[in-house]
Amino acid sequence: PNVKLVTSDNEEFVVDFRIAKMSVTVSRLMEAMNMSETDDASLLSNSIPLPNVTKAVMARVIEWCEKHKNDEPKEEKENDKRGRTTHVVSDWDKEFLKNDEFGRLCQLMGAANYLEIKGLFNDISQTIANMIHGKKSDEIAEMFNIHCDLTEAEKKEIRKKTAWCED
Amino acid sequence: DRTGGLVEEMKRMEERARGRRVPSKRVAGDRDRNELIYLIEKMKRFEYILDRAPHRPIKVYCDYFPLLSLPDELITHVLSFLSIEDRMKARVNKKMDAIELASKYSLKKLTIGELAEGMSGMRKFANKFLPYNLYRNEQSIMLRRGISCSD
Repeated sequence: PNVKLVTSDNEEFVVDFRIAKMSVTVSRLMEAMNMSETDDASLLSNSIPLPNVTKAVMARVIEWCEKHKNDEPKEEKENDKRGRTTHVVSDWDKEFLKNDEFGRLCQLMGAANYLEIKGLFNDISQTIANMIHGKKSDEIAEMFNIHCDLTEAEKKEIRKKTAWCED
Repeated sequence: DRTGGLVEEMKRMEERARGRRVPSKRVAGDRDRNELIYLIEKMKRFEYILDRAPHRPIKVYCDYFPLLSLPDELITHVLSFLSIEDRMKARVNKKMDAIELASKYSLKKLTIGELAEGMSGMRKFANKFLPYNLYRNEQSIMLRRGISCSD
């Protein structure tokens, strides 16, 4: 069975029921609209509106979901000993995300969050975290084009508090 | 044209960026080249913001990841994938500092130590090596006096 998804720019995507169910948001909407896998009539007559996702971003989301539709659900892992969430990005996902220009990646992250596709959301978050990892403060500011609006006193205070983690 | 033809030139550059063939035209007036580049960059960023609005055509170009344009909860989620030392270094402006201060950490073990005053050489050594090299293997983080933490 197929499900119809309609993006903000009125583009209709017909996707497999399993792919639609990968999104918690879509899944909830289908339940609210009494759409079930066994009821073809309800699937054909209804479409799911997704006002926060555009056509181009939806196409990327579906591409990711197609690849991961047969994945086993991952177990929740506790934070590691250094207090960080652990998530492994597969080689295919790294290549997939590498193709996205930064602005598009940002939109894709917003869509993954809105659609509640945890795997994609964590993949993107981990990718951005990898950009930050091991960098110095000024390198981070430069990489993300962040203008420093801290006063000298605030900078000094932060430096004092973070002296233990500077090289 | 009060802008000395800059707006027209920017439009032509946008057209060229879309792959259309637009003949180049010299910018009128004595505008500085750096100012033109600055205005083009500013326009790109402005357009990026417009692209985030619903029902806008997709056109994104950004030569850096616009981290600060993300909502705070998404930035917090990204930071949760980093170790504490990386998060500390990410406090590069007021927004990032506020997000970091609002974050909570879950550590299995936390040792809080205070180093003696007036031993600058030893203190420097301790600051540099104690938190990681000595304590890392014991699954704990040593915090210096002045570092705030919750839980």
